[in-house]
Amino acid sequence: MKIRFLISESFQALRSNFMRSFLTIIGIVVGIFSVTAMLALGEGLSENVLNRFSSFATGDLTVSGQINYTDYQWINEQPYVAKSLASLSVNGAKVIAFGTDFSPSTQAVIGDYQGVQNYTIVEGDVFDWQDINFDEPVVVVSNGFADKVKEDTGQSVLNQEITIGSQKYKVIGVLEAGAMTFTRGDGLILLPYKQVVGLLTSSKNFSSVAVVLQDSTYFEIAGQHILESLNASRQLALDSEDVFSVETAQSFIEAAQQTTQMISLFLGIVGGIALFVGGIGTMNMMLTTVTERTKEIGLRKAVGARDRDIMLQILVESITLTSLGGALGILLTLGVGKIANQIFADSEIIKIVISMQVIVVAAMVAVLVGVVFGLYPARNASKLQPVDALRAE
Amino acid sequence: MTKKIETSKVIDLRDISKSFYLQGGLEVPVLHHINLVVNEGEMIAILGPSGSGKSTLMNIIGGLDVATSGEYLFAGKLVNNMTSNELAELRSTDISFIFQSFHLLASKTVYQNVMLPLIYQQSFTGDFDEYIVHALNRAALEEEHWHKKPNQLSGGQRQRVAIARALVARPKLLLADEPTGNLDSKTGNNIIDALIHLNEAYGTTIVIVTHDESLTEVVHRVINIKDGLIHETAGKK
Repeated sequence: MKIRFLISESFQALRSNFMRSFLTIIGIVVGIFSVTAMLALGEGLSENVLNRFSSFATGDLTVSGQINYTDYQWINEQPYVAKSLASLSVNGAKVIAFGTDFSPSTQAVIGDYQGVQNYTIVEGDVFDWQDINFDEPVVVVSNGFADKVKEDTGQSVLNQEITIGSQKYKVIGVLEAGAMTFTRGDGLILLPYKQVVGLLTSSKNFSSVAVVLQDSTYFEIAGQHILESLNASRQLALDSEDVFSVETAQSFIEAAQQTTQMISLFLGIVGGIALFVGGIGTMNMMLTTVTERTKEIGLRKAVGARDRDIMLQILVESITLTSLGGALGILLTLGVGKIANQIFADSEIIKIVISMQVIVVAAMVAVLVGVVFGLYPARNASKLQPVDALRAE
Repeated sequence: MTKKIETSKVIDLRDISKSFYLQGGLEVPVLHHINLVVNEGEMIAILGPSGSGKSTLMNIIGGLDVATSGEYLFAGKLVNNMTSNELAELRSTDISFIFQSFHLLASKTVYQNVMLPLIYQQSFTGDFDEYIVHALNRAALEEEHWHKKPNQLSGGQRQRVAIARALVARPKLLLADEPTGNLDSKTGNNIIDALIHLNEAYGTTIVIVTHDESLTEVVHRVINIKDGLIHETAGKK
């Protein structure tokens, strides 16, 4: 049987059972929509998270652990280090501006902040990041914090005093930098080291040092050297990661990729369950069709149809059903994706990315569902004996 | 046009028996050692009451069923050992059926119903339209009905569609199973006239399976079948 007859016969068969075909197609539409929507959501999430991790993972290496100022200086003096930035997070300090509580991230930083973070000054000025002895009660805030204060109190925080813990600080500048946008809550506040140690934290040690290398291709060798040297200074095993650890930007991104891949896989499975239900609906319809058309199948065999012709005809009907459902499901996802992206335009997490890869995978899956769930009814139909089939009531 | 009976054998049944087996293995014999030859251009009737085995015999002749024992040669080719695909090919090119209940596909037009056998012919290279129009004209169905659905036609017109469908592949043998069984006597006579015309004008070999004894007057030979055994009488034609 020629392919053009197969296709026209299948369309005719589906038309003659319009309502049943329509309902079955709806099942596939929902299934394909679920799969593509979940994949697109996963891809959007992946893209978002990767962008954020890429900017968050400042520098080529991040050294973590109980790093003192001497350690930092030693790291900074290594010939393969181009720039570095040590930071000390202040946890649990209460921040009050104009009598209102806020919850920004608070850090003390020492080093080449401009070189590592590549910030831009939105308003005001910055203090000397390089000077360990800089000891004035001033802070620089991210535009996220400044905006939040403006939103909640209606006042500009620049050149005003805010309270952190029990200390008062003057806001001398507002910055915008990639890494700052990652900060959750109410933005970021940067303080001089001397204004933190002993006042806001009991620790003198930095929690991390971001390092930009002269040649980033040697990140593994450099990372290994730093780790071994820091461990040696504390008489630890050279490869120990108990006290110090060195993460590469690449490893941050890989970890993020693995996480988003797991999320995408989970979302794909959720969509797949809906598609499986749609597939069962297709199989149910095809089995009913074969039972109802037993006499027709007998007639087709009587006029010369081979087992293969009957099998192909039922399979093509099944594939036509699921392909139509697949096409409509993809169109629905494109439409809903467009609307969702408009609605969630301001969201930093929800983003629907419908790539060509998602569309191709969805189309292939739709065809595959037709084959898998049409195979059993098609085989049943092809094995009918013409004499028995013609006698069927 | 005068009828000319060819001597080449279209059907050659040699000692054919057929049994059905019930659950538990109980054998129910239906046909017993049937020997029958039908030559090209003949028109014969297989006559017998219900349950006599005439439909089973027709199914074996038509390649829809296989004999339990014996040999069946169609146009010199041994049918017994044919695979299901070879039997399908035989039905596609050489043998056509006309059924008592027409077996037309309700969702298709007359034209599409007649086309059906051609789409399964692997070796068909002719012009679809030419073959279909030719068959419809031979079955004497007026052109105004060609694009109607079967439910828009009378019983007689539906049987003419079935005849056209049987003729479209230009088979060597036309098997008619109670072709007038669902028709009133006047329409039934018209269908029989159409079959006679096909046989006389075009030399189509026709086997009619029936319990209608009036048909014995229009065929060359009558094969009586009872309890799976046959005996032959001359037709009155």
